[in-house]
Amino acid sequence: MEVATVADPAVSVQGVSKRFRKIRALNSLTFEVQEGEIFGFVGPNGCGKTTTTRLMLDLYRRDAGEIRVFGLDPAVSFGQIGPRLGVIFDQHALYDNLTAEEHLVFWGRLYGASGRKLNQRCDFLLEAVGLGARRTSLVRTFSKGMRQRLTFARCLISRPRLVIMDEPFDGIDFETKRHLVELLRSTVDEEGMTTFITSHNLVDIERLCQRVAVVRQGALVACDSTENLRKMTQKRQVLVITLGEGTRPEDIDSIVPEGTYDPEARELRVELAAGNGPPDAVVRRLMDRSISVRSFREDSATLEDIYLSLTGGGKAVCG
Amino acid sequence: MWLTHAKAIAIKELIEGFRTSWRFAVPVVGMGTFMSWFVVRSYVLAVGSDPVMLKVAASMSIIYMGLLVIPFMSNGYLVRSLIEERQKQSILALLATGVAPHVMWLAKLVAAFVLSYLVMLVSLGIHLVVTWLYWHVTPVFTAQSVVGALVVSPLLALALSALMGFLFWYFPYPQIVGMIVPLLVAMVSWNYAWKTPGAGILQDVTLVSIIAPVVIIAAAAVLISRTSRQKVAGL
Repeated sequence: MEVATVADPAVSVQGVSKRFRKIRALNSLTFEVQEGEIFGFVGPNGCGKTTTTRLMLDLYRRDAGEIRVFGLDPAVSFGQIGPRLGVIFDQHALYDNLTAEEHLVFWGRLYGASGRKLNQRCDFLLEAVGLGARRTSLVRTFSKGMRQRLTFARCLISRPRLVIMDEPFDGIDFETKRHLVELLRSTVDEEGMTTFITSHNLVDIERLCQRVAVVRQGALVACDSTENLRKMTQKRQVLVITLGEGTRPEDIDSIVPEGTYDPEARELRVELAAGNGPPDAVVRRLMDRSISVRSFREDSATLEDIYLSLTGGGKAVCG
Repeated sequence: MWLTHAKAIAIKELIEGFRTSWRFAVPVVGMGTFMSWFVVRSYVLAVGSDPVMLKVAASMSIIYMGLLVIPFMSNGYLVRSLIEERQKQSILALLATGVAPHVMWLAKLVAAFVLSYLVMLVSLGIHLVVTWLYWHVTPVFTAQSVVGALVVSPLLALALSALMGFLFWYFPYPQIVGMIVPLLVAMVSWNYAWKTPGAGILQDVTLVSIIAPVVIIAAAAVLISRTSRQKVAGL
Protein backbone atom coordinates (compact mmCIF):
# COMPACT_ATOMS: atom_id res chain seq x y z
CA MET A 1 0.00 0.00 0.00
CA GLU A 2 1.31 3.45 -0.95
CA VAL A 3 1.74 6.11 1.71
CA ALA A 4 1.37 9.84 0.94
CA THR A 5 3.39 12.52 2.74
CA VAL A 6 2.21 15.93 3.95
CA ALA A 7 4.52 17.75 1.52
CA ASP A 8 3.03 16.09 -1.57
CA PRO A 9 1.27 18.45 -4.01
CA ALA A 10 -2.39 17.69 -4.69
CA VAL A 11 -1.55 16.69 -8.26
CA SER A 12 1.85 15.99 -9.77
CA VAL A 13 2.20 15.12 -13.46
CA GLN A 14 5.79 14.44 -14.51
CA GLY A 15 6.79 13.74 -18.12
CA VAL A 16 3.54 11.95 -18.95
CA SER A 17 3.03 10.70 -22.50
CA LYS A 18 0.06 8.94 -24.02
CA ARG A 19 -0.62 7.67 -27.53
CA PHE A 20 -3.82 6.35 -29.08
CA ARG A 21 -2.44 4.21 -31.89
CA LYS A 22 -0.86 6.73 -34.28
CA ILE A 23 -2.17 9.80 -32.49
CA ARG A 24 0.07 11.34 -29.85
CA ALA A 25 -2.31 12.79 -27.26
CA LEU A 26 0.24 13.84 -24.62
CA ASN A 27 3.91 14.52 -25.07
CA SER A 28 6.00 14.56 -21.90
CA LEU A 29 3.51 16.73 -20.02
CA THR A 30 4.71 18.14 -16.69
CA PHE A 31 2.92 20.32 -14.13
CA GLU A 32 1.96 20.41 -10.46
CA VAL A 33 -1.14 21.60 -8.65
CA GLN A 34 -0.63 22.70 -5.05
CA GLU A 35 -3.15 22.02 -2.27
CA GLY A 36 -5.84 24.70 -2.00
CA GLU A 37 -5.07 26.15 -5.42
CA ILE A 38 -7.50 26.79 -8.28
CA PHE A 39 -5.58 25.62 -11.33
CA GLY A 40 -6.67 26.19 -14.92
CA PHE A 41 -5.69 23.80 -17.70
CA VAL A 42 -6.44 25.41 -21.05
CA GLY A 43 -5.86 24.63 -24.68
CA PRO A 44 -7.70 24.19 -27.97
CA ASN A 45 -10.01 21.24 -28.60
CA GLY A 46 -8.09 18.00 -29.06
CA CYS A 47 -4.95 19.17 -27.26
CA GLY A 48 -5.09 16.53 -24.51
CA LYS A 49 -7.11 18.12 -21.69
CA THR A 50 -9.62 15.30 -21.33
CA THR A 51 -6.88 12.70 -21.73
CA THR A 52 -4.99 14.32 -18.85
CA THR A 53 -8.03 14.28 -16.54
CA ARG A 54 -8.79 10.68 -17.45
CA LEU A 55 -5.20 9.69 -16.70
CA MET A 56 -5.51 11.38 -13.30
CA LEU A 57 -8.65 9.29 -12.71
CA ASP A 58 -7.06 6.02 -13.86
CA LEU A 59 -9.51 5.79 -16.75
CA TYR A 60 -6.56 5.57 -19.14
CA ARG A 61 -3.15 4.04 -18.64
CA ARG A 62 -0.17 6.28 -19.41
CA ASP A 63 2.62 5.16 -21.74
CA ALA A 64 5.37 7.01 -19.87
CA GLY A 65 5.92 9.37 -16.96
CA GLU A 66 4.47 9.56 -13.49
CA ILE A 67 1.19 10.85 -12.06
CA ARG A 68 0.56 11.39 -8.35
CA VAL A 69 -2.67 12.55 -6.78
CA PHE A 70 -2.16 13.36 -3.08
CA GLY A 71 1.15 11.54 -3.43
CA LEU A 72 -0.49 8.33 -4.63
CA ASP A 73 -0.33 6.72 -8.06
CA PRO A 74 -3.91 6.51 -9.46
CA ALA A 75 -3.02 3.35 -11.38
CA VAL A 76 -2.12 1.62 -8.11
CA SER A 77 -4.16 3.28 -5.35
CA PHE A 78 -7.25 4.74 -6.95
CA GLY A 79 -9.41 3.16 -4.24
CA GLN A 80 -7.76 5.56 -1.76
CA ILE A 81 -7.88 8.58 -4.08
CA GLY A 82 -11.46 8.31 -5.38
CA PRO A 83 -13.28 9.08 -2.10
CA ARG A 84 -11.40 12.40 -1.87
CA LEU A 85 -12.42 13.59 -5.33
CA GLY A 86 -15.33 15.47 -6.85
CA VAL A 87 -15.45 15.18 -10.63
CA ILE A 88 -17.34 16.87 -13.46
CA PHE A 89 -16.96 15.40 -16.93
CA ASP A 90 -17.67 17.15 -20.21
CA GLN A 91 -21.07 15.42 -20.29
CA HIS A 92 -23.53 15.90 -17.43
CA ALA A 93 -23.54 12.21 -16.48
CA LEU A 94 -26.94 12.40 -14.79
CA TYR A 95 -29.76 9.86 -14.59
CA ASP A 96 -32.90 11.06 -16.39
CA ASN A 97 -35.28 9.08 -14.19
CA LEU A 98 -34.04 10.28 -10.81
CA THR A 99 -35.05 13.55 -9.19
CA ALA A 100 -32.49 16.23 -8.28
CA GLU A 101 -32.74 15.25 -4.62
CA GLU A 102 -32.42 11.52 -5.34
CA HIS A 103 -29.25 12.25 -7.29
CA LEU A 104 -27.58 13.99 -4.39
CA VAL A 105 -28.72 11.33 -1.90
CA PHE A 106 -27.36 8.61 -4.18
CA TRP A 107 -23.95 10.24 -4.59
CA GLY A 108 -23.83 11.08 -0.89
CA ARG A 109 -24.51 7.44 0.00
CA LEU A 110 -21.75 6.34 -2.38
CA TYR A 111 -19.35 8.39 -0.27
CA GLY A 112 -20.67 6.79 2.91
CA ALA A 113 -22.87 9.70 4.09
CA SER A 114 -26.35 9.07 5.48
CA GLY A 115 -29.11 10.36 7.72
CA ARG A 116 -29.64 13.97 8.78
CA LYS A 117 -26.16 15.17 7.78
CA LEU A 118 -26.68 13.97 4.23
CA ASN A 119 -30.15 15.52 4.04
CA GLN A 120 -28.80 18.84 5.32
CA ARG A 121 -25.96 18.80 2.79
CA CYS A 122 -28.46 18.03 -0.02
CA ASP A 123 -30.74 20.88 1.10
CA PHE A 124 -27.81 23.30 1.26
CA LEU A 125 -26.44 22.38 -2.16
CA LEU A 126 -29.83 22.37 -3.91
CA GLU A 127 -30.48 25.86 -2.59
CA ALA A 128 -26.93 26.97 -3.43
CA VAL A 129 -27.25 25.94 -7.08
CA GLY A 130 -30.76 27.38 -7.32
CA LEU A 131 -32.62 24.09 -7.66
CA GLY A 132 -34.41 24.13 -4.29
CA ALA A 133 -37.80 24.56 -5.93
CA ARG A 134 -37.15 21.72 -8.42
CA ARG A 135 -35.76 19.19 -5.97
CA THR A 136 -38.51 16.61 -6.65
CA SER A 137 -38.52 17.07 -10.43
CA LEU A 138 -37.11 14.33 -12.64
CA VAL A 139 -33.85 15.30 -14.32
CA ARG A 140 -35.32 14.52 -17.76
CA THR A 141 -37.41 17.71 -17.37
CA PHE A 142 -34.31 19.87 -16.73
CA SER A 143 -32.71 22.34 -19.14
CA LYS A 144 -28.99 22.15 -19.95
CA GLY A 145 -28.18 24.90 -17.45
CA MET A 146 -30.17 23.18 -14.68
CA ARG A 147 -28.40 19.91 -15.40
CA GLN A 148 -25.04 21.63 -15.09
CA ARG A 149 -26.12 23.21 -11.77
CA LEU A 150 -27.05 19.75 -10.50
CA THR A 151 -23.74 18.36 -11.73
CA PHE A 152 -21.94 21.01 -9.65
CA ALA A 153 -24.00 20.09 -6.58
CA ARG A 154 -23.25 16.40 -7.15
CA CYS A 155 -19.54 17.15 -7.44
CA LEU A 156 -19.54 18.98 -4.09
CA ILE A 157 -21.78 16.59 -2.12
CA SER A 158 -18.89 14.79 -0.41
CA ARG A 159 -16.90 17.94 0.49
CA PRO A 160 -14.07 16.75 -1.79
CA ARG A 161 -10.43 17.68 -1.20
CA LEU A 162 -9.78 17.85 -4.94
CA VAL A 163 -12.31 18.85 -7.58
CA ILE A 164 -11.55 17.93 -11.19
CA MET A 165 -13.71 19.68 -13.76
CA ASP A 166 -13.50 18.93 -17.46
CA GLU A 167 -14.99 21.83 -19.48
CA PRO A 168 -17.53 22.71 -16.76
CA PHE A 169 -18.71 25.93 -18.42
CA ASP A 170 -19.07 24.55 -21.93
CA GLY A 171 -22.36 25.42 -23.63
CA ILE A 172 -24.12 27.08 -20.69
CA ASP A 173 -25.57 30.58 -20.57
CA PHE A 174 -23.81 33.56 -19.02
CA GLU A 175 -26.12 33.76 -15.99
CA THR A 176 -25.61 30.11 -15.04
CA LYS A 177 -21.88 30.43 -15.63
CA ARG A 178 -21.62 33.44 -13.33
CA HIS A 179 -23.69 31.68 -10.66
CA LEU A 180 -21.54 28.55 -10.78
CA VAL A 181 -18.27 30.51 -10.73
CA GLU A 182 -19.44 32.34 -7.59
CA LEU A 183 -20.53 29.10 -5.97
CA LEU A 184 -17.21 27.46 -6.76
CA ARG A 185 -15.22 30.41 -5.46
CA SER A 186 -17.16 30.58 -2.18
CA THR A 187 -16.89 26.81 -1.69
CA VAL A 188 -13.14 26.96 -2.24
CA ASP A 189 -12.87 29.81 0.28
CA GLU A 190 -14.96 27.98 2.90
CA GLU A 191 -13.71 24.42 2.46
CA GLY A 192 -10.19 25.00 1.13
CA MET A 193 -10.40 22.38 -1.59
CA THR A 194 -8.03 22.14 -4.54
CA THR A 195 -9.62 22.74 -7.94
CA PHE A 196 -8.40 21.60 -11.36
CA ILE A 197 -10.42 23.06 -14.25
CA THR A 198 -9.94 22.39 -17.94
CA SER A 199 -11.33 24.68 -20.62
CA HIS A 200 -10.74 25.65 -24.23
CA ASN A 201 -11.84 29.18 -23.32
CA LEU A 202 -9.36 31.16 -21.23
CA VAL A 203 -11.85 33.96 -20.56
CA ASP A 204 -14.14 31.46 -18.78
CA ILE A 205 -11.59 30.64 -16.13
CA GLU A 206 -9.02 33.46 -15.99
CA ARG A 207 -10.81 35.28 -13.15
CA LEU A 208 -11.27 32.07 -11.21
CA CYS A 209 -7.82 30.50 -11.40
CA GLN A 210 -4.66 31.42 -9.53
CA ARG A 211 -2.43 29.60 -12.01
CA VAL A 212 -2.99 28.50 -15.57
CA ALA A 213 -1.24 25.88 -17.70
CA VAL A 214 -1.58 26.31 -21.45
CA VAL A 215 -1.33 23.12 -23.50
CA ARG A 216 -0.79 22.70 -27.20
CA GLN A 217 -0.57 19.42 -29.10
CA GLY A 218 -0.30 17.51 -25.84
CA ALA A 219 2.65 19.52 -24.52
CA LEU A 220 2.87 22.34 -22.03
CA VAL A 221 3.60 25.72 -23.65
CA ALA A 222 3.14 27.94 -20.55
CA CYS A 223 2.40 27.52 -16.89
CA ASP A 224 2.24 30.63 -14.76
CA SER A 225 0.04 32.69 -12.48
CA THR A 226 -2.76 34.54 -14.23
CA GLU A 227 -1.10 37.71 -12.86
CA ASN A 228 2.13 36.99 -14.73
CA LEU A 229 0.26 36.04 -17.87
CA ARG A 230 -1.57 39.37 -17.69
CA LYS A 231 1.79 41.18 -17.38
CA MET A 232 2.80 39.60 -20.68
CA THR A 233 -0.14 41.35 -22.30
CA GLN A 234 1.13 44.78 -21.29
CA LYS A 235 4.30 44.38 -23.34
CA ARG A 236 2.63 43.16 -26.51
CA GLN A 237 0.66 44.92 -29.21
CA VAL A 238 -1.84 43.57 -31.70
CA LEU A 239 -3.18 44.91 -34.97
CA VAL A 240 -7.00 44.84 -35.04
CA ILE A 241 -8.43 44.87 -38.57
CA THR A 242 -12.17 45.21 -39.19
CA LEU A 243 -13.15 43.50 -42.44
CA GLY A 244 -16.09 44.04 -44.77
CA GLU A 245 -19.24 41.88 -44.97
CA GLY A 246 -19.10 38.53 -46.73
CA THR A 247 -15.54 37.77 -45.70
CA ARG A 248 -14.99 34.03 -45.53
CA PRO A 249 -12.99 32.76 -42.51
CA GLU A 250 -11.20 30.15 -44.66
CA ASP A 251 -9.88 32.95 -46.95
CA ILE A 252 -8.49 34.83 -43.94
CA ASP A 253 -6.90 31.65 -42.58
CA SER A 254 -5.02 31.16 -45.84
CA ILE A 255 -3.97 34.80 -46.30
CA VAL A 256 -3.07 35.64 -42.67
CA PRO A 257 -2.46 32.30 -40.97
CA GLU A 258 -0.78 33.99 -38.00
CA GLY A 259 -3.96 35.94 -37.18
CA THR A 260 -7.19 35.00 -35.39
CA TYR A 261 -10.45 35.91 -37.06
CA ASP A 262 -13.76 36.42 -35.26
CA PRO A 263 -16.45 36.08 -37.98
CA GLU A 264 -19.21 37.54 -35.77
CA ALA A 265 -17.34 40.80 -35.08
CA ARG A 266 -15.57 40.55 -38.48
CA GLU A 267 -12.39 41.36 -36.56
CA LEU A 268 -8.97 39.99 -37.42
CA ARG A 269 -6.30 40.23 -34.68
CA VAL A 270 -2.62 39.82 -35.57
CA GLU A 271 0.10 40.08 -32.97
CA LEU A 272 2.74 42.65 -33.91
CA ALA A 273 5.71 40.37 -33.43
CA ALA A 274 8.96 40.48 -35.40
CA GLY A 275 8.06 37.58 -37.68
CA ASN A 276 4.68 38.98 -38.71
CA GLY A 277 6.03 42.02 -40.54
CA PRO A 278 4.92 45.69 -40.26
CA PRO A 279 1.20 46.47 -39.82
CA ASP A 280 0.73 47.83 -43.35
CA ALA A 281 2.18 44.63 -44.84
CA VAL A 282 -0.65 42.58 -43.30
CA VAL A 283 -3.29 45.04 -44.54
CA ARG A 284 -1.69 45.07 -48.03
CA ARG A 285 -1.75 41.25 -48.16
CA LEU A 286 -5.50 41.34 -47.53
CA MET A 287 -6.22 44.09 -50.05
CA ASP A 288 -4.10 42.38 -52.72
CA ARG A 289 -6.46 39.40 -52.42
CA SER A 290 -9.53 41.67 -52.76
CA ILE A 291 -10.53 41.40 -49.10
CA SER A 292 -12.49 44.47 -48.04
CA VAL A 293 -10.76 46.27 -45.13
CA ARG A 294 -12.99 48.74 -43.25
CA SER A 295 -10.49 49.96 -40.65
CA PHE A 296 -7.42 48.98 -38.68
CA ARG A 297 -5.82 50.08 -35.42
CA GLU A 298 -3.11 49.04 -32.98
CA ASP A 299 -4.19 47.80 -29.56
CA SER A 300 -2.72 46.20 -26.40
CA ALA A 301 -2.79 42.43 -26.45
CA THR A 302 -5.41 40.77 -24.22
CA LEU A 303 -4.95 37.59 -22.25
CA GLU A 304 -6.90 35.87 -25.01
CA ASP A 305 -4.32 37.05 -27.59
CA ILE A 306 -1.49 35.63 -25.50
CA TYR A 307 -3.38 32.36 -25.20
CA LEU A 308 -4.09 32.23 -28.92
CA SER A 309 -0.48 32.96 -29.82
CA LEU A 310 0.67 30.24 -27.41
CA THR A 311 -1.79 27.70 -28.78
CA GLY A 312 -1.34 28.56 -32.43
CA GLY A 313 -4.52 30.57 -32.79
CA GLY A 314 -6.68 27.76 -31.52
CA LYS A 315 -6.03 25.87 -34.75
CA ALA A 316 -3.74 23.27 -33.22
CA VAL A 317 -4.45 19.65 -33.91
CA CYS A 318 -2.59 16.96 -32.02
CA GLY A 319 -0.44 14.83 -34.22
CA MET B 1 -16.79 0.25 1.74
CA TRP B 2 -17.83 -2.12 -1.05
CA LEU B 3 -21.09 -2.85 0.76
CA THR B 4 -21.86 0.89 1.01
CA HIS B 5 -21.20 1.26 -2.71
CA ALA B 6 -23.24 -1.81 -3.63
CA LYS B 7 -26.18 -0.74 -1.46
CA ALA B 8 -26.23 2.80 -2.86
CA ILE B 9 -26.07 1.59 -6.47
CA ALA B 10 -28.69 -1.15 -5.96
CA ILE B 11 -31.14 1.34 -4.39
CA LYS B 12 -30.56 3.79 -7.24
CA GLU B 13 -31.11 1.04 -9.82
CA LEU B 14 -34.33 -0.08 -8.11
CA ILE B 15 -35.73 3.47 -8.05
CA GLU B 16 -34.91 3.90 -11.74
CA GLY B 17 -36.17 0.39 -12.50
CA PHE B 18 -39.54 0.90 -10.84
CA ARG B 19 -40.01 4.13 -12.78
CA THR B 20 -39.02 2.83 -16.19
CA SER B 21 -39.30 -0.96 -16.39
CA TRP B 22 -43.07 -1.23 -16.42
CA ARG B 23 -43.12 -0.48 -20.15
CA PHE B 24 -40.88 -3.46 -20.67
CA ALA B 25 -42.59 -5.56 -17.97
CA VAL B 26 -46.07 -5.44 -19.51
CA PRO B 27 -45.16 -7.33 -22.72
CA VAL B 28 -42.96 -9.75 -20.75
CA VAL B 29 -45.84 -10.59 -18.37
CA GLY B 30 -48.11 -10.99 -21.37
CA MET B 31 -45.64 -13.29 -23.09
CA GLY B 32 -45.08 -15.42 -19.96
CA THR B 33 -48.82 -15.79 -19.36
CA PHE B 34 -49.51 -16.63 -23.00
CA MET B 35 -46.77 -19.28 -23.15
CA SER B 36 -47.92 -20.80 -19.85
CA TRP B 37 -51.49 -20.98 -21.18
CA PHE B 38 -50.19 -23.22 -23.96
CA VAL B 39 -48.34 -25.35 -21.42
CA VAL B 40 -51.54 -25.96 -19.43
CA ARG B 41 -53.36 -26.61 -22.68
CA SER B 42 -50.90 -29.38 -23.52
CA TYR B 43 -51.46 -30.86 -20.03
CA VAL B 44 -55.22 -30.74 -20.49
CA LEU B 45 -54.85 -32.60 -23.76
CA ALA B 46 -52.49 -35.15 -22.19
CA VAL B 47 -54.11 -35.88 -18.82
CA GLY B 48 -57.44 -33.98 -19.00
CA SER B 49 -59.47 -37.14 -18.38
CA ASP B 50 -57.96 -37.48 -14.90
CA PRO B 51 -58.96 -34.38 -12.85
CA VAL B 52 -56.55 -35.14 -9.97
CA MET B 53 -53.63 -35.67 -12.32
CA LEU B 54 -54.58 -32.47 -14.16
CA LYS B 55 -54.49 -30.46 -10.91
CA VAL B 56 -51.01 -31.78 -10.12
CA ALA B 57 -49.85 -31.12 -13.68
CA ALA B 58 -51.24 -27.59 -13.56
CA SER B 59 -49.34 -26.94 -10.37
CA MET B 60 -46.14 -28.03 -12.09
CA SER B 61 -46.77 -25.54 -14.93
CA ILE B 62 -45.68 -22.71 -12.65
CA ILE B 63 -42.09 -23.91 -12.32
CA TYR B 64 -41.18 -22.64 -15.79
CA MET B 65 -42.35 -19.07 -15.28
CA GLY B 66 -39.00 -17.97 -13.84
CA LEU B 67 -37.14 -19.15 -16.93
CA LEU B 68 -39.73 -17.59 -19.25
CA VAL B 69 -39.78 -14.18 -17.59
CA ILE B 70 -36.60 -13.44 -15.59
CA PRO B 71 -34.01 -13.70 -18.42
CA PHE B 72 -36.01 -11.25 -20.56
CA MET B 73 -36.56 -8.78 -17.78
CA SER B 74 -33.14 -8.85 -16.16
CA ASN B 75 -31.19 -8.93 -19.42
CA GLY B 76 -33.29 -6.14 -20.87
CA TYR B 77 -32.75 -4.06 -17.77
CA LEU B 78 -29.00 -4.77 -17.56
CA VAL B 79 -28.44 -3.99 -21.23
CA ARG B 80 -30.33 -0.71 -20.99
CA SER B 81 -28.71 0.27 -17.72
CA LEU B 82 -25.17 -0.36 -18.98
CA ILE B 83 -25.71 1.29 -22.34
CA GLU B 84 -27.15 4.38 -20.66
CA GLU B 85 -24.29 4.55 -18.15
CA ARG B 86 -21.77 4.44 -20.98
CA GLN B 87 -23.59 6.79 -23.34
CA LYS B 88 -24.15 9.44 -20.69
CA GLN B 89 -20.70 8.81 -19.20
CA SER B 90 -22.23 8.47 -15.74
CA ILE B 91 -20.15 5.31 -15.50
CA LEU B 92 -17.06 7.56 -15.53
CA ALA B 93 -18.43 9.52 -12.57
CA LEU B 94 -19.14 6.25 -10.75
CA LEU B 95 -15.65 4.91 -11.41
CA ALA B 96 -14.17 8.26 -10.30
CA THR B 97 -15.62 7.75 -6.82
CA GLY B 98 -13.49 4.64 -6.39
CA VAL B 99 -16.34 2.14 -6.88
CA ALA B 100 -14.88 -1.19 -7.96
CA PRO B 101 -16.27 -2.29 -11.35
CA HIS B 102 -17.26 -5.73 -10.05
CA VAL B 103 -19.21 -4.15 -7.16
CA MET B 104 -21.04 -1.95 -9.66
CA TRP B 105 -21.81 -5.00 -11.78
CA LEU B 106 -23.02 -7.04 -8.80
CA ALA B 107 -25.28 -4.24 -7.53
CA LYS B 108 -26.85 -3.86 -10.96
CA LEU B 109 -27.37 -7.62 -11.23
CA VAL B 110 -29.04 -7.78 -7.81
CA ALA B 111 -31.37 -4.89 -8.65
CA ALA B 112 -32.21 -6.40 -12.05
CA PHE B 113 -32.95 -9.77 -10.40
CA VAL B 114 -35.18 -8.24 -7.71
CA LEU B 115 -37.20 -6.36 -10.34
CA SER B 116 -37.44 -9.44 -12.55
CA TYR B 117 -38.49 -11.62 -9.61
CA LEU B 118 -41.36 -9.24 -8.82
CA VAL B 119 -42.45 -9.34 -12.46
CA MET B 120 -42.31 -13.14 -12.30
CA LEU B 121 -44.58 -13.13 -9.22
CA VAL B 122 -47.09 -10.94 -11.07
CA SER B 123 -46.92 -13.29 -14.07
CA LEU B 124 -47.47 -16.31 -11.82
CA GLY B 125 -50.51 -14.69 -10.24
CA ILE B 126 -52.05 -13.90 -13.63
CA HIS B 127 -51.23 -17.40 -14.87
CA LEU B 128 -53.02 -19.02 -11.91
CA VAL B 129 -56.08 -16.82 -12.37
CA VAL B 130 -56.18 -17.64 -16.11
CA THR B 131 -55.79 -21.35 -15.37
CA TRP B 132 -58.66 -21.19 -12.91
CA LEU B 133 -60.95 -19.06 -15.09
CA TYR B 134 -60.22 -20.56 -18.54
CA TRP B 135 -59.40 -24.20 -17.81
CA HIS B 136 -61.43 -24.42 -14.59
CA VAL B 137 -58.48 -26.07 -12.88
CA THR B 138 -57.38 -25.26 -9.35
CA PRO B 139 -53.76 -26.37 -9.07
CA VAL B 140 -52.75 -28.47 -6.07
CA PHE B 141 -49.45 -27.06 -4.96
CA THR B 142 -46.72 -29.40 -3.82
CA ALA B 143 -43.41 -28.60 -2.17
CA GLN B 144 -41.78 -29.49 -5.48
CA SER B 145 -43.83 -27.08 -7.53
CA VAL B 146 -43.50 -24.22 -5.04
CA VAL B 147 -39.73 -24.65 -4.57
CA GLY B 148 -39.34 -25.14 -8.31
CA ALA B 149 -41.27 -21.96 -9.13
CA LEU B 150 -39.94 -19.67 -6.42
CA VAL B 151 -36.37 -20.93 -5.94
CA VAL B 152 -34.98 -23.36 -8.53
CA SER B 153 -36.23 -21.75 -11.71
CA PRO B 154 -35.37 -18.16 -10.60
CA LEU B 155 -31.90 -19.27 -9.53
CA LEU B 156 -31.25 -20.87 -12.92
CA ALA B 157 -32.47 -17.65 -14.52
CA LEU B 158 -30.17 -15.67 -12.22
CA ALA B 159 -27.21 -17.79 -13.35
CA LEU B 160 -28.08 -17.02 -16.94
CA SER B 161 -28.54 -13.33 -16.20
CA ALA B 162 -25.17 -13.25 -14.44
CA LEU B 163 -23.53 -14.86 -17.44
CA MET B 164 -25.18 -12.43 -19.82
CA GLY B 165 -24.49 -9.47 -17.56
CA PHE B 166 -20.84 -10.46 -17.55
CA LEU B 167 -20.74 -10.62 -21.34
CA PHE B 168 -22.33 -7.16 -21.55
CA TRP B 169 -19.18 -5.70 -20.01
CA TYR B 170 -17.24 -6.95 -23.01
CA PHE B 171 -19.66 -6.08 -25.82
CA PRO B 172 -20.00 -2.37 -26.53
CA TYR B 173 -23.44 -2.96 -28.15
CA PRO B 174 -25.01 -5.94 -26.39
CA GLN B 175 -28.66 -5.37 -27.42
CA ILE B 176 -28.77 -8.25 -29.92
CA VAL B 177 -27.12 -10.80 -27.62
CA GLY B 178 -29.31 -9.53 -24.79
CA MET B 179 -32.48 -10.38 -26.73
CA ILE B 180 -31.49 -13.57 -28.56
CA VAL B 181 -30.24 -15.53 -25.55
CA PRO B 182 -33.34 -15.04 -23.33
CA LEU B 183 -35.48 -15.90 -26.32
CA LEU B 184 -33.58 -19.18 -26.83
CA VAL B 185 -33.84 -20.02 -23.11
CA ALA B 186 -37.56 -19.28 -23.09
CA MET B 187 -38.15 -21.44 -26.16
CA VAL B 188 -36.12 -24.38 -24.79
CA SER B 189 -37.78 -24.29 -21.36
CA TRP B 190 -41.20 -23.84 -22.96
CA ASN B 191 -40.64 -26.83 -25.21
CA TYR B 192 -39.50 -28.85 -22.19
CA ALA B 193 -42.58 -27.73 -20.22
CA TRP B 194 -44.95 -28.94 -22.96
CA LYS B 195 -43.54 -32.43 -23.06
CA THR B 196 -43.32 -33.18 -19.37
CA PRO B 197 -46.70 -32.79 -17.73
CA GLY B 198 -46.26 -33.28 -14.01
CA ALA B 199 -42.70 -34.53 -14.42
CA GLY B 200 -41.54 -32.65 -11.36
CA ILE B 201 -38.01 -31.46 -10.88
CA LEU B 202 -35.01 -33.61 -10.43
CA GLN B 203 -32.74 -33.20 -7.42
CA ASP B 204 -29.85 -32.68 -9.83
CA VAL B 205 -31.58 -29.65 -11.32
CA THR B 206 -32.10 -28.19 -7.86
CA LEU B 207 -28.43 -28.66 -7.05
CA VAL B 208 -27.34 -27.13 -10.36
CA SER B 209 -29.68 -24.18 -9.81
CA ILE B 210 -27.91 -23.39 -6.55
CA ILE B 211 -24.35 -24.04 -7.67
CA ALA B 212 -24.57 -22.41 -11.12
CA PRO B 213 -25.33 -18.83 -10.04
CA VAL B 214 -22.76 -18.97 -7.24
CA VAL B 215 -20.00 -20.22 -9.54
CA ILE B 216 -20.90 -17.90 -12.44
CA ILE B 217 -21.26 -14.81 -10.24
CA ALA B 218 -17.99 -15.50 -8.41
CA ALA B 219 -16.06 -16.17 -11.63
CA ALA B 220 -17.58 -13.11 -13.35
CA ALA B 221 -16.82 -10.87 -10.36
CA VAL B 222 -13.18 -12.00 -10.33
CA LEU B 223 -12.80 -11.47 -14.08
CA ILE B 224 -14.51 -8.06 -13.98
CA SER B 225 -12.32 -6.91 -11.08
CA ARG B 226 -9.32 -7.65 -13.34
CA THR B 227 -10.74 -5.78 -16.32
CA SER B 228 -9.24 -2.35 -17.01
CA ARG B 229 -11.38 0.58 -15.93
CA GLN B 230 -11.04 1.97 -19.45
CA LYS B 231 -12.74 -1.11 -20.89
CA VAL B 232 -15.45 -1.09 -18.22
CA ALA B 233 -16.19 2.55 -19.03
CA GLY B 234 -16.37 1.72 -22.74
CA LEU B 235 -13.69 4.31 -23.61
